[in-house]
Amino acid sequence: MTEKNLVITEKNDNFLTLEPEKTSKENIFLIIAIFGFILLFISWYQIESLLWNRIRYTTGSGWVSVAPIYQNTSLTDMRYMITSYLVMYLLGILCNFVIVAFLLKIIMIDKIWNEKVKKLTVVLSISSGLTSITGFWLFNSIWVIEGIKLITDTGQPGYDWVRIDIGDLSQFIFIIGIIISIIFFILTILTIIFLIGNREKKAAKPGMKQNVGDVIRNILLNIPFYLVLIFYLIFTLLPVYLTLKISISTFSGVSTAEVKEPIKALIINYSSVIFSVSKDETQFGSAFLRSIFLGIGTGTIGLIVAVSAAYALARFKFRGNKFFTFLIISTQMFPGLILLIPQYIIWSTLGLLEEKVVILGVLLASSTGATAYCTWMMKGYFETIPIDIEEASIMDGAGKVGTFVKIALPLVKSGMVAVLLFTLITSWQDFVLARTFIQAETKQTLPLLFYNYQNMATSDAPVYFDLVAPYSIIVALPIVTFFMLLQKTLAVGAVAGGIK
Amino acid sequence: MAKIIFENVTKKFGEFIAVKNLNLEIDDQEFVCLVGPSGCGKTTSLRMLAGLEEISEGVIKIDENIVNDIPPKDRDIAMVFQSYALYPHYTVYDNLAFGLRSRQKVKSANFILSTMEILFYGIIAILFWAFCRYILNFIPFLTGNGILFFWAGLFGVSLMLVMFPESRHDIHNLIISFGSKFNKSIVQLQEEEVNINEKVKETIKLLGIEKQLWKKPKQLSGGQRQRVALGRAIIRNPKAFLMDEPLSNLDAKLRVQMRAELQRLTNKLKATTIYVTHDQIEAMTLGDRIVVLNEGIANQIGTPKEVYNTPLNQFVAGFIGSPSMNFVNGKIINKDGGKVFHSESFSYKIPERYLIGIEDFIEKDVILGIRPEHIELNRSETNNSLSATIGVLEPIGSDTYVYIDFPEFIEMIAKVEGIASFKIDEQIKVKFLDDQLHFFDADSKMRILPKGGIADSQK
Repeated sequence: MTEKNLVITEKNDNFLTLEPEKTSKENIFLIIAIFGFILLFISWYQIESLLWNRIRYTTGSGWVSVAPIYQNTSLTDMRYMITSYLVMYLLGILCNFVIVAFLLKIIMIDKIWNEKVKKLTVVLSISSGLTSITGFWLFNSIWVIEGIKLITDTGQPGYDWVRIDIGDLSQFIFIIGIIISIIFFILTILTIIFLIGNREKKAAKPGMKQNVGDVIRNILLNIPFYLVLIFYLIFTLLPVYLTLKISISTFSGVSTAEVKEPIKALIINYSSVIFSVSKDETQFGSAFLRSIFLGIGTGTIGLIVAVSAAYALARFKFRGNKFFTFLIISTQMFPGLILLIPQYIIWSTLGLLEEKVVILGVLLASSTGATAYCTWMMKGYFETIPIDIEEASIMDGAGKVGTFVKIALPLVKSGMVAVLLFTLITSWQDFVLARTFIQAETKQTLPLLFYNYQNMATSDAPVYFDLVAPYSIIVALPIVTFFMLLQKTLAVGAVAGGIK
Repeated sequence: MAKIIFENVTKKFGEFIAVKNLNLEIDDQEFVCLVGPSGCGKTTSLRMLAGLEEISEGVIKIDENIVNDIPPKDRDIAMVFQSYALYPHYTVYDNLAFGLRSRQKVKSANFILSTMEILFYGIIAILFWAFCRYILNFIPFLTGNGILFFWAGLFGVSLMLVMFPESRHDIHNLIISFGSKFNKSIVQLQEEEVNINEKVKETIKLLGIEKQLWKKPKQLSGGQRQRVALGRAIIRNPKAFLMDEPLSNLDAKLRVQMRAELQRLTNKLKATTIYVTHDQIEAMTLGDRIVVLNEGIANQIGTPKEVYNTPLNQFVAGFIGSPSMNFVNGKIINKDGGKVFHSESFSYKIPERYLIGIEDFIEKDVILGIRPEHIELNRSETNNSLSATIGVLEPIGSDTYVYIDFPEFIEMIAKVEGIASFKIDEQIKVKFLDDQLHFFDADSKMRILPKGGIADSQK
């Protein structure tokens, strides 16, 4: 036998080819989509912050505008800016393509990749690409127009070429862009709906059809239930609604917020948060990255420690098992705040509070706090696995470590995701620890940045709601996205089918 | 295949004794059924043999080797669980191959391969990064954006995998062919993988689940899951099979079907098998020998025929057979020159066959046992018959179970072939088949042997 024969390469032999799992393909698409978004965001942020780092909040007035930057922008800078927009949105097209491909993959998962589908893919990717391009023009031209308007309104000297060369052009492109993007957006949505609808039609059995009468009766019967739900929804969604409303309104105040010119207000409010540099030189983007690092780091460290500890507590009989479990739970029985000062002293003795490593210090502190709770949660998840499955694996010769890695861990995937999300959220919104540990003004995290908005308050505007609201939404978005992506993993019972 | 010996095996859970002094010798290729009511220690015995439960006292030997301290994976025995215990996240193929893969001798190869794969992707990521860092750096507005290029590396690798999904496969093969040049264990791994493939092929053909190969357990029906669970045991060709009520989760019809299939399979494989069940029909049909357990004690060990015809005590007699044996308490007295079994409701003249054995028990309490299928019902009087009335009739198609009421509220069940023509409350004559009677000592509940004396369960 030659070496070539030994390698399993015969793809024609269905048997020998270890079929790659469909789910893993989906996962890759998801990963790409997330990376795409991150890339888009970061490139956006990086480019913008380079050019616009002279932006400051005008703290005296309620309005914070980014538009006056045009006054100080040179011609070369302007060209760079536009080129960077172009590059950024080309990347956006790529990401869009990936997302569309991802959607298609989900829909087409059981279908054969035929000519029709190929054509659809091309149409979809082109339309999404065009949406991106038009979106670019839409976005860019709004900036330019706003800049011109402000210049003319305030009567301050600006560059004439802006008004003459780009101003008219951009208005034209702006209108065309809106029309084209709307058309393609509708096309994309329609195609996806068409595809999904087709799939559902095939899946539904002929006997499952309901009469109109049945449907109406069902709705009528459910009315009281719906009423209660609506009532509940109003209460839960009211703050969210208010936040969203304020974030696109032009007046800083909760009760006085009015939605006038929502697009303009949206752009100005959100960009004020994202692109601007606060008083103490902390940029939003770097704080965002720092917070992501802390969140994912805490989650990972907490999970790695918790999973192994929880498995030992759940599955191994040893002297003091219950006592150790109690010890771990007992750490949750007193407020963590009372540990803060001792922790601070220890950390500073160890030199973990120096500016260069302070983020690692915070990471260490927050993950020690998270580990106990994670262990407790994971123990519960491990106990849900039927012991039979693990015993079967031991009988099959996998040994205890093999059983843990190959059988137990995949089965508590949903638990791991839940724990990861929990720790991620906790460290994402952790303020007290960060505030105590981080003294360097260049090492702020998102909650600390938020705190700075409060510091800016004057007697005229006690709270900058038009900053606070978009900030809250931007900060909530990653977590919401995570939840939406991982929802499926959380919901599906892992052990289904393994035992009777 | 192997010989298995239990020597005075005892299992204690604290104060509670689950299995007491179990002595059992299972020959090579023998099919032994452990049967008994729930909580009698049959599953515990099996788990002790499997190594999932520690042995409190005594010794278990497989092939003359004491296995008390040998971990389960080194005992080379396979177990089929009541709940199937399939791995829900694996396909049928991987479920079957798991046991073989875990026993691979070249475990280091897997580690080397995965490390190489990670390194490979890492190198690609670094190349992407370097490309962005040093080529794109000349574009003015991208200068100095290190973090952007870091993400670009990861993005590039992911992009590659999405654009060319097949490439993962090719890279895997590339790494294997590259690695096998300097590491022999990877070559061995490939050889073993081919062997595993062959074995899985054989096994699924044997079990008739070819079409289910790439499905996951939750997509399978109960019978198919059962087959996969069996296949997982068969594929390793172990020294012995342990089956812990494998059919009890199936519905009645499928259970009968699988029972026959299991019999065919074990005949073909000629494997040493220990089968635990609470269903005496399964035990009778499948087992070469049956071990009847009660409260941790082996009451009788014997072939199905022995257990059925000569039960050693009242428990075994009552447990084996359906409907179960009728018991009547009474005394043996001398009457009219012969010996008579005298109970509250009837007196029955003892046939000649039992006279020698009964001699020691005259004027003592005994229990008469008679199986339902050994009772004859007639409308007219015959020799040595008793009179009774019909209480209840339970026709089940092929047979009818007739509940006969004797005076003093003694009830018996008789099994009559076909649909019985009797009516309820009808007066009938009952006749016991002369050579099918069982007598038990009322004190020890042990069988009174026709030769004389009582049976000894320790034998």
